[in-house]
Amino acid sequence: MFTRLRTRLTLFYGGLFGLALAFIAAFLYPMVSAQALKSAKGQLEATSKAFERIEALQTHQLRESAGISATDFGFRSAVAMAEIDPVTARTALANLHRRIGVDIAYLILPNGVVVSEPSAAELPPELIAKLMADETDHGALVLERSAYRAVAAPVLAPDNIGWLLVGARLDDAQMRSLASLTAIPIEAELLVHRGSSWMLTARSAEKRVEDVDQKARAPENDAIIEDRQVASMDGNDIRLQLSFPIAVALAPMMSLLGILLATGLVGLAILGVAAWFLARSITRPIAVLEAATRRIEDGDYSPVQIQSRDEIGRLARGFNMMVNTIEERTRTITHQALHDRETDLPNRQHFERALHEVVVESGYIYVGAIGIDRYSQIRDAIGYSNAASLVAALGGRLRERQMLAAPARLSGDIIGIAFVARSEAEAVLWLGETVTALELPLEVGRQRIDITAKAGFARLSEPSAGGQNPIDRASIALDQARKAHRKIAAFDADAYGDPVANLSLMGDMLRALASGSIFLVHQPKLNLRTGEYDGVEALVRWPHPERGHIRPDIFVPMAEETGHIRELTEWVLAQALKDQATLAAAGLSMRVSVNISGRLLGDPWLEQMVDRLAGKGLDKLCFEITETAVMNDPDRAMTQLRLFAEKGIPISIDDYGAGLSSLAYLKMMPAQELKIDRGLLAGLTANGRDTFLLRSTIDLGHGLGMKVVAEGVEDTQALAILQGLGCDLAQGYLISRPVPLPDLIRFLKENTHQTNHSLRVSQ
Amino acid sequence: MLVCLCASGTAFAATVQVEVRTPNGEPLANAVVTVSGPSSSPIATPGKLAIEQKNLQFHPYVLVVPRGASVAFPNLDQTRHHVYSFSPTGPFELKLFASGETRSVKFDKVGTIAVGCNIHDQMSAFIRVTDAPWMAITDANGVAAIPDVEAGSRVIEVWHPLQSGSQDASLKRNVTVTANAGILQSFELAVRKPLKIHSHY
Repeated sequence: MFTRLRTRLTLFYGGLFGLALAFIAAFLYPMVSAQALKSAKGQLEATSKAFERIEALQTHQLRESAGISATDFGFRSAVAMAEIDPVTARTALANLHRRIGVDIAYLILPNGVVVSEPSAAELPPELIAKLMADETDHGALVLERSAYRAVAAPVLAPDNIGWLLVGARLDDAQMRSLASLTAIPIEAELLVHRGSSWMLTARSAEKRVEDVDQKARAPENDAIIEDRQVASMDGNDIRLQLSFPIAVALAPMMSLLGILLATGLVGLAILGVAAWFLARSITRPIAVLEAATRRIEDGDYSPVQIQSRDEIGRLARGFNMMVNTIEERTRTITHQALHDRETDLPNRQHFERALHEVVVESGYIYVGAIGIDRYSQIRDAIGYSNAASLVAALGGRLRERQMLAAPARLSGDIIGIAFVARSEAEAVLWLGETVTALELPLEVGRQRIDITAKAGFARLSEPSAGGQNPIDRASIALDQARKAHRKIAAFDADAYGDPVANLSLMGDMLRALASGSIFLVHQPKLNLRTGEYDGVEALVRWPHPERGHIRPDIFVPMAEETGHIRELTEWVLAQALKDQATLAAAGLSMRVSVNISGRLLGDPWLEQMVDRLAGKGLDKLCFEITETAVMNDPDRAMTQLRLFAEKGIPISIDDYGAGLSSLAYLKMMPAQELKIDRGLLAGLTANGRDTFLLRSTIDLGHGLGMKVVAEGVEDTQALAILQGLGCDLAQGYLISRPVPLPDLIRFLKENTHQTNHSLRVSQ
Repeated sequence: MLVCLCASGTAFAATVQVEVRTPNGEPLANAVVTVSGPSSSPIATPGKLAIEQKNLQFHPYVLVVPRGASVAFPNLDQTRHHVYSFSPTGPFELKLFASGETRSVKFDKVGTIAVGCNIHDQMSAFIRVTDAPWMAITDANGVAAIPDVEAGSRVIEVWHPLQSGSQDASLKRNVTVTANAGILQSFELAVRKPLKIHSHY
């Protein structure tokens, strides 16, 4: 809810203080209020006691006044004469009344007759009865609506000839003076019980009595009440009620609480502001640190500026140190990530980044991949670390050339460069100079090393390259150069094909094999001795529905790489057998040669395949196998070839003279046929070294008991020379292109019975 | 009621003995007992007809006298006294007469006369004036013996200054006195406590 530390701290301290205040108030309130009430109660009780004393004093005074008057001789004689002369008695009473200054004065005769002034209220009979019975002589008395303190003194002459009753009114002034005895503003009231209610006869409050005439006794919860029964003469229930409103009693405490509350609020406000400032002083450096961590995420390692000496200051210093360490480590890691560890040359990633930033004003940017020839051999010879030094030295040499980006090690033996050239030709030229400069001998670990290198290159942004990486294109170009044994090669997109499409090629091939869209074509072989067509070589053709005809030299190597060569070979063998059967049915029984991939030679699968087809006329086929295929694993290859030979399958050595030739292998191979590579026929003339070489080869084949077949015969001169040299069979466009089976049958039927050498060939 | 016969010195007469007690059974002294009825012999008064002032007190406290008798008030104190009575039966005032002097007052009405001294409030005495031929005052034992009461139908009346109720009321009882046969009558009379006289001035 409160995500900011400052807010939380402020609220926490403020809340804590407020809580403490509330606790103090909650603790003080009942204590102080109880104390206030207790103190008020004490005051009331003291006042009540004071009333008792006042009562005694007044009674005493009244008694003395009455006593003196009652013993006055003249008054006594008037009292004695009262029955006979009531007027004298009444005037004597009135005189005495004035003389002693009381509020009421009565004379009660022994026979119950009351002598009083005309205006005086009538005495209650109960009082007279009590007096007669000698049951009372002082106490409170209620006459009409007023209460009095009265004393009855006997009039003795010397026996009791009557009572003189005098009284002082218990009026508001008395109540006020009683109330004023206390320090607190209490209210004193005199109440007389009348039936079910209480009559108020006097009160200290400055109000007219009529207002509260039938006042009920105040309920206890409004005021503190001290209730005192006043001894009465006439049997009335008279009460002195001292009251003190609780609200008034608590008022000082309320103001105390108010002050407490006010100071508390002021304190709370001060504390809140102080806490806010304190929290800010704490959180501001933390916020700085927080901001610094975000900066670090963005790679900004600048130190935070916090100078304080407290924990936060130490934290900031630690933080800065940590940031330094991280920065250093990051730099190291970044360097390691972007550089080759062995040579400290930039790596491929670094190179890629650099390429993104290269801009030239004119010309094109080219990416070159320079590959060191026979690097693994060199490395084995001089050791890994020296080899790394060698690559580093070459990188150094390349840096001296005009480069757009630092030369980078793309793989063990490949260094990537970027350069500018106006055209591909200029790029070839520039790269040629570069490679030449690179090939200067150099010393590594006191050894003089001669190296040669090849280079491939590609335009950085080639419009036709699609999504391909220029570094990849340059590397492919290097591969292409190496394959073609050329020093420099530009990326050849056509030769490379469409790698994305190639990915699905094998799936397409398997479907094509199943659907029969792959088919065999056959190229006849002409027997130069008999003029007959002795056999055909079966070749695979694949018309792709989207890509057109796909050359075997594209999909066959791919099938070899992916292992799908087995399915292809199986299909070819089966189809060759079928086609052979078709030919035989047409009266054209002949041997069909099938190319067996060098990859499959030595593979047990091939043996199983051969076993499976053994009974289906496999011996009427011929396996054409290149000499180099044997060289990968000569022992196994030879064993398998001998096995095939035993099963009666003829073996033909294909492409002889194109690659490395080993007479030792040639001798061992159980072959019946030797096919001379078309390369030996190029530039063939009647005389010269080529003819000599051809002748030697033909003689060699014959010498080893093999028939010799010449491939790629394209003109009549070559054919004549071959015939002259004793070559057994010829194959080539001069004789026939590879053709589908129906065309082959037609061709063979048209030419079968030609016996002379004037061959009908398409010129 | 206890009746006892007593021998009497006079022919055709007998002694009437009256015993007065409070309701608590305590003997009541100073009760005036009179026996009325026709009498052939002169009225005999018990003792002197005088109330002395001695030691700031009246003596006796209660005196019973026949109507028309004069009562002497001898002052035996060193101080003067101002003896008075406001009783309507026989009001009188003997203003400040000195020590050794004797004044007399004649009482012609039947009734009670409360006697006081105006300057000494604690001094109090009562004079009962009666028409009855026989009279007496109870002693400390609450007993009054009236000798020589002539036989015949008589009324015994008992009065006490502190009796409850009216001062003029009295207890009356009809009895028949037989010659030479004394009677004992018991009376019960409620009395007030004597009024305390404030003598602090």
